[in-house]
Amino acid sequence: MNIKDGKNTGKAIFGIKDIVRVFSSFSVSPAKAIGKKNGDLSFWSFVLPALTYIFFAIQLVIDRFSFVPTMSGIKALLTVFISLIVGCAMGLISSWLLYSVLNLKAIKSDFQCVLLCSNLSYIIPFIVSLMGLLVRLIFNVPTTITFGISALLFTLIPYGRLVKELLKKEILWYIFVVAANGILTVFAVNLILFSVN
Amino acid sequence: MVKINKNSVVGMASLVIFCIFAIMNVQGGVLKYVLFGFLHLILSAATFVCLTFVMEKPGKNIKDPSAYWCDLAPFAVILVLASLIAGWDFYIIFYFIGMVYLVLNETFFRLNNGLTFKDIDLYKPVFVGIGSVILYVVLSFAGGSPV
Repeated sequence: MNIKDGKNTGKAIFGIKDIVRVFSSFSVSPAKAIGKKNGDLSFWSFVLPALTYIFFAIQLVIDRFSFVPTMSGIKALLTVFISLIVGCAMGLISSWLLYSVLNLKAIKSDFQCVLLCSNLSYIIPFIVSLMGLLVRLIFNVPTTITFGISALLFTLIPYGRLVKELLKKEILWYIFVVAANGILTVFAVNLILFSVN
Repeated sequence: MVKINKNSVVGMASLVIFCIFAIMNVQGGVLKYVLFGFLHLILSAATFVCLTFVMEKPGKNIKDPSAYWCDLAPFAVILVLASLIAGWDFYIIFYFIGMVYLVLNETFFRLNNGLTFKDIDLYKPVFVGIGSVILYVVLSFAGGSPV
């Protein structure tokens, strides 16, 4: 299988309307992005994991301000900054993990393309995380676990579909890649939880 | 009749892991452990049999109609590792996401392989998957689970 970027006759992604349309169809199946001319988008796709983690951190910080009197503004800012770094790192690590396994199994791939597809798996978590933040702000109920952590774990659904699509018959490698990404997500969440304490 | 193959064993093992975590989190006396342990085992067995029945019947023209069980395995692995390494016990969330993923992924896979909504009777796998999650959540909370 060849998943080289830009070799296909796929339509180029350009305007905002196109981005919204394409992103909505990619949200469940990120592998559809394969073959699209997407050179610039692979960098901007980092916005998705970064914002997902930032929204989670903001929910966490608001919860802390409600329950912990010693919580300070600097600590809150630091937590949000760490979540930005963690979000970008997670986007990069999860795509690198998949890219490495694809190379190991001699499946031709382009890193930019894998990066875009991997980051597109954060569309649904991004929406869920944003919803959580809005629910937190409007109804003033704790949403860190119900929306925040769940949203981050929801990444595994589209990511799993992407991995299965690319590693069709390699069941053990598929389980390994998805489980490894899940464990990394757990560690990322733990790091943010640790930074706020 | 339920056929047992490699994929089914993986699915069964995953369900057993979720079942063990649910039983481990029961709060109360021995009688409650035995009662909820038994109920969780029944639920796991029923989920296995019902999913096999509704998923494998319309998958006859698919090369490996039991491959969907492998979708649940990563979530069981993550649950075990997250519990051992990071001390997480959000087992209900993992079960929910695992089941949603299993049903969603297999539905898309079958639709992409020439089957129609009518062929796969979409409501049946969704009903079994969501029903299993609801019963799992109800049993976990009735057993006194903190998560």
